[in-house]
Amino acid sequence: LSELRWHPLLEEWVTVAPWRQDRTYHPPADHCPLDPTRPGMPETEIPEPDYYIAVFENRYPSYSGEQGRCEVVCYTPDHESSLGEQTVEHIADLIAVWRDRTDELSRLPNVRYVYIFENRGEEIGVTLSHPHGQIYAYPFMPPVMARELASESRHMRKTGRCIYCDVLAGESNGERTVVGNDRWIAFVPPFARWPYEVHIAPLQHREWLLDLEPEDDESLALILKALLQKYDAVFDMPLPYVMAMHQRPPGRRTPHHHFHIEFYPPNRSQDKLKYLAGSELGAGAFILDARAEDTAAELRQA
Amino acid sequence: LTTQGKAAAPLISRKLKKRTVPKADGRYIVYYERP
Repeated sequence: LSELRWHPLLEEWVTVAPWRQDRTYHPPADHCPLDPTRPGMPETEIPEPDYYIAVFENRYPSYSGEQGRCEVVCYTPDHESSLGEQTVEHIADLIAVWRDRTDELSRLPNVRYVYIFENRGEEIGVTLSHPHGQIYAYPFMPPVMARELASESRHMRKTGRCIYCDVLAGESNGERTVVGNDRWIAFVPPFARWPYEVHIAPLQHREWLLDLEPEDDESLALILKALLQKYDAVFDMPLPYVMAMHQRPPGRRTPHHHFHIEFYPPNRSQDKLKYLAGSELGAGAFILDARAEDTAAELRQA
Repeated sequence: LTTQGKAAAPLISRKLKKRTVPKADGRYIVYYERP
């Protein structure tokens, strides 16, 4: 099991998992562990010769056993593809898979938070290029979520309203909207910390994936695909990003939490990356050299 | 039901089948398939 060490100054857990040093690092394309096992070839992580969507326990987990889970979600057997290249129907099925995993992992006794995410691109530190995401079922509340839930709770006590519903109300003029439909909106928040940061959120209040109505899945799939296509079009290249789902924690009533998905591409232009450096890493203060209104317009037109 | 009291989407749709298989090393793999 991992060792959890408490950071007394920041009041947060640091997870120490030295075996992760040995994890697979940029294998050649014909030895990808996320490909299905081809006849006559060595077995990959997926023993069967084909699959649609597959989820397995990470071989190099940060949390396992009684601590929690780390899962790998393989979106497609097609090694050269990406999430944004899947059909709307396939993405809607993936949303159902994310919901099912959320339900299953939420039932584990020591899990305090289920976090679905994707790291895309070498620039973000990806070691396997096959299209996939991950799920961490943490034995503690991660600090970003804890901080977010606390501010949402304070706002609801003070005003009786959901803070994210108030944020969405501020987007009604569409100046920062990238793409939207009658159920979901993708927008660059006015408080974005990355130049091309985008949030996808339901217009109606939902707390997590288990709160979605049947019509929400395909509607979200359409917006997700549209955003990812715009990301790849804006600089005419596959744009790296971190995708982070902010769901409510399991087993707690959180009417103040509004489900949303955050995307952080590291690029500030086609060939320049924004690095987290002195101010961001050392002081936690993000400095941004782009206006949300301008990057939203760029993405809208991409 | 959702927290708003409405009918929630099914965990996985009828079009999707779920199959959990143990791996040789004790881990599991879950296949989500369209029959």
